[in-house]
Amino acid sequence: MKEEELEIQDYVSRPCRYVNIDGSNELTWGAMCCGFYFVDWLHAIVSPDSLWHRPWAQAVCMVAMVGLIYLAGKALKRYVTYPRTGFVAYPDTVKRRMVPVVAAAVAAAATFVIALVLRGGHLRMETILGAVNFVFYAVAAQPFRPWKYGFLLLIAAGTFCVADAYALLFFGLVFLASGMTTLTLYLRQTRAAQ
Amino acid sequence: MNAGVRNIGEIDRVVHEPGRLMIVALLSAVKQADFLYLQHETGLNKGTLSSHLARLEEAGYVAIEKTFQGKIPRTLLQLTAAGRAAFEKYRRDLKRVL
Repeated sequence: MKEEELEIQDYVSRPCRYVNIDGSNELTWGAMCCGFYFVDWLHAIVSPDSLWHRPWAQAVCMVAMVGLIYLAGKALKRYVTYPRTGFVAYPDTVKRRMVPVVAAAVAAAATFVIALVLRGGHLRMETILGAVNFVFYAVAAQPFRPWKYGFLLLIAAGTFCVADAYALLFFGLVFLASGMTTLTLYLRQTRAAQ
Repeated sequence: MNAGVRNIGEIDRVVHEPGRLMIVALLSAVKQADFLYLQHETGLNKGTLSSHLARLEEAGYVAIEKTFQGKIPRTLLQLTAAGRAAFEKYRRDLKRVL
């Protein structure tokens, strides 16, 4: 009995594991982190009286970057994933997409509270960033494969070892590397439909 | 005759067939999926999958919509309310019988 029920449950849960089969979650988040780092870096190197230092210029750049990443994710699904392994539309998409975001927010709040209790609120911003990325990776990088634990450990190590100025870039690159690995494995293991 | 054996007769034969059970279970978790996705997940060939889908459509459990994405035809499949109810009932019946 249990076996039959487990088999049915496995089929019911398969579509959930299909969301990130191509590594799009990791690639999107990685590109976002690297993009934010790039904006920050640009802000630091250009002269203070340049156009770049106007608030609207940065807002336009941010919106363009987020829009571009969103469209790139859509294009990946449309031109790579759907022709290979098919299209799936999920019920209540907004709620599903909010799960990693809510988990990451809870992680940030928990880290802050722990710091408040243990160290009187004295905390590096990068520790919170690291905790957020750690939880976000654990939730968004599903389905979890053994090699993904390596990336999880890398994020944990980076939380404490990477210099403040490069933390965002480091987390972005880890996510991109994980996403590229997932995508490469997916492309190698599947073929475009005839 | 004991109750468990009597209940076997109540099991929905349309859903009980292994191929169709896979299809219904997969569709129960999504809003919509295409033919290619079902083929990929079930491992069934096109002919077998088509015949199972035709049977499910005939029973009113699956709605089939044929569309085009650019020039490429796409078959979208969705579990109907009746199909969803039949799947839930099937799972309950199975628990009771075994």
